[in-house]
Amino acid sequence: MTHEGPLLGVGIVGAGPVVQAIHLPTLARLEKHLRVRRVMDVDPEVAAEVASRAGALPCTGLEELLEDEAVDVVAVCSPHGFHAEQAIAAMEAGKRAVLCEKPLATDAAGAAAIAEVSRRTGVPVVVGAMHIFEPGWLEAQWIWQNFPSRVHTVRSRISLPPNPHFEDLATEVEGRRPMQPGTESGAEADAARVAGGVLGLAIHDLPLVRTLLPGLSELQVLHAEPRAPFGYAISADVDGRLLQLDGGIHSHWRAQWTLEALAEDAALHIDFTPSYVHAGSAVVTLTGADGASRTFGPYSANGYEGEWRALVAAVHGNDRSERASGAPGPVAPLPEMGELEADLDFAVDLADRASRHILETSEVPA
Amino acid sequence: MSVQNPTNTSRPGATIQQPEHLRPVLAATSASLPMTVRDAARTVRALDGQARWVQELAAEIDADGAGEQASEARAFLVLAPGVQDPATLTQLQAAAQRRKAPVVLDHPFADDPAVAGLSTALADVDGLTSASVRTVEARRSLLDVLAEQVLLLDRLGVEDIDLEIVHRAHRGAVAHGGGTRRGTPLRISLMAVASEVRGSCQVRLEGADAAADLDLLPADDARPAHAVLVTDEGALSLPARHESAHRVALRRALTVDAAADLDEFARACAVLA
Repeated sequence: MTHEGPLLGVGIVGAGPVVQAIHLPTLARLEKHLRVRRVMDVDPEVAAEVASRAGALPCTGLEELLEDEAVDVVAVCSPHGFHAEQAIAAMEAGKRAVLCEKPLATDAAGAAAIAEVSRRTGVPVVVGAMHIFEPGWLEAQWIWQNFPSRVHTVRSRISLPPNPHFEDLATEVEGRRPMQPGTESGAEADAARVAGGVLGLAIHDLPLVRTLLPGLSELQVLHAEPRAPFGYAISADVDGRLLQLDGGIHSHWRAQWTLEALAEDAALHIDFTPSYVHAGSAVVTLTGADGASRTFGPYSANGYEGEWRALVAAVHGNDRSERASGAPGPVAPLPEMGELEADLDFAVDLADRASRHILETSEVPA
Repeated sequence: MSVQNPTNTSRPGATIQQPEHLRPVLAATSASLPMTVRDAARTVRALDGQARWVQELAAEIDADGAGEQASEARAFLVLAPGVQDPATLTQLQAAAQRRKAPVVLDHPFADDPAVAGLSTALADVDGLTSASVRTVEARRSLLDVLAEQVLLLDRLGVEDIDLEIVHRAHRGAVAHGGGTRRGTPLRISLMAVASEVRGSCQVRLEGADAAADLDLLPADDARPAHAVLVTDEGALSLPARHESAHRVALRRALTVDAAADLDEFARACAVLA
């Protein structure tokens, strides 16, 4: 089975750094399958500049993009608060698929609304959680048998330079808004920072965490604290299993992004490449108690390409996991809408519980 | 574990008295040391740190002091010492000093010479604001592993360590807290995980402008650690030191006339008390 089919026209909603540094270069690599036709941004200069890079037409309103018959699939890359509304509008307009940047929505109601429309219209939705589309992650799942059922500890560690460091390596970013580090202090500011860290950074790996800790129902935050200037340290008990999340932004050049899962008799270790740069794939290593290990990757493409390949496969009706013709690794099966909702629920719940933990533990006794 | 019927590994000079189950580790370590070290004219009594080692050590030191024949040891070596009451350790340190019997503690990761190497490399590095240590190991109490992590941070120049254990179960333990390093406040996360998969200890120090990584392998493997210092200029990989934690500890037990290991370990235990 292959993903060959008619060229799909792409409409991009929101043309910020993620689109400029990630999606346009990725789509250029997939020009046999996808072609950018329309770029919408509320800033007309940004829309015009970014559209010109892709040989597409610019616009400043969603309606114009959705009315364009050359647009088959829509990428929702706008600020988080617009995701649900715009994804639903794209599906209702009869587009064939939606790729929505993470988070799918800002709350469970938004995700549920997207899921209802997707089920009713039959339009597939892909969330831009690029790590679940990493070829090495997919390969490891094919051989790890019941490994997740034995995992008792998961640790995510993300240590990165500020985003512009990598955006500028990828492209000249048009219309960048300067980051405004929060200056507020106190428990409420700390709680907001940690929640922002979960939904802005940790969220990349939370769908993988859900896979590694299956059947989760009880989530108890044991500790949460912000890390300056932007970051978090969170320990949580997930149905008796331990989850440790450490993330932060620093000023030096080195990026480290790892995820590890430990069972009594096996361990999984993933080294991810940083966001924005096109530096190949993650490297995934499975190790047994006997010391023997298997390593998957690096591949020539990473999860950014994988998520677009998954979308193409879904549109053409080949939405089962497979090694597509011409693809540098396996193509992920499209997650069910229920899974996407559960991913968002988990992220929002974790962010909420972590921020509440900070507020509760900072209360000064009367 | 008992040292009541120790077996002797005799050499022309040094004698290592050990319980039978420690013999493989000590024999291999001893055999790997240069002749001038292992043939030192000294008797070393080795104890397993995973049981009532403090009581045994106290009895041995007392016996030495009383001039009894129960012990001929001139130095003591405790492998992988477990957490003990800090006051007891301090008292024991004083007793050992009175008897002029050095007590060397063999910490499987913290005694790796790469720790000292990184500490030296970091001597002038300011601004490190977070430290995390993650150890995977199956055979020790997780509290003991956390104590060794505290000791390790102490050796890397972290002071005023204050921690809270937020999770402790049979497969994992986590502690969070803070400290200072060169006057800069520093947040600390410690994690000990029980798994039969290849043991390791991973240390990460991070600041806005610099970072340091230390990847330690089990002392039994005798493979060198990997230490890296990151600055704006790049990443400096520190020299590999083919000297395991066991070798460092046994070498010291065979050669030093005094050791303050018990006092040092008492400080680490006090943090977790």
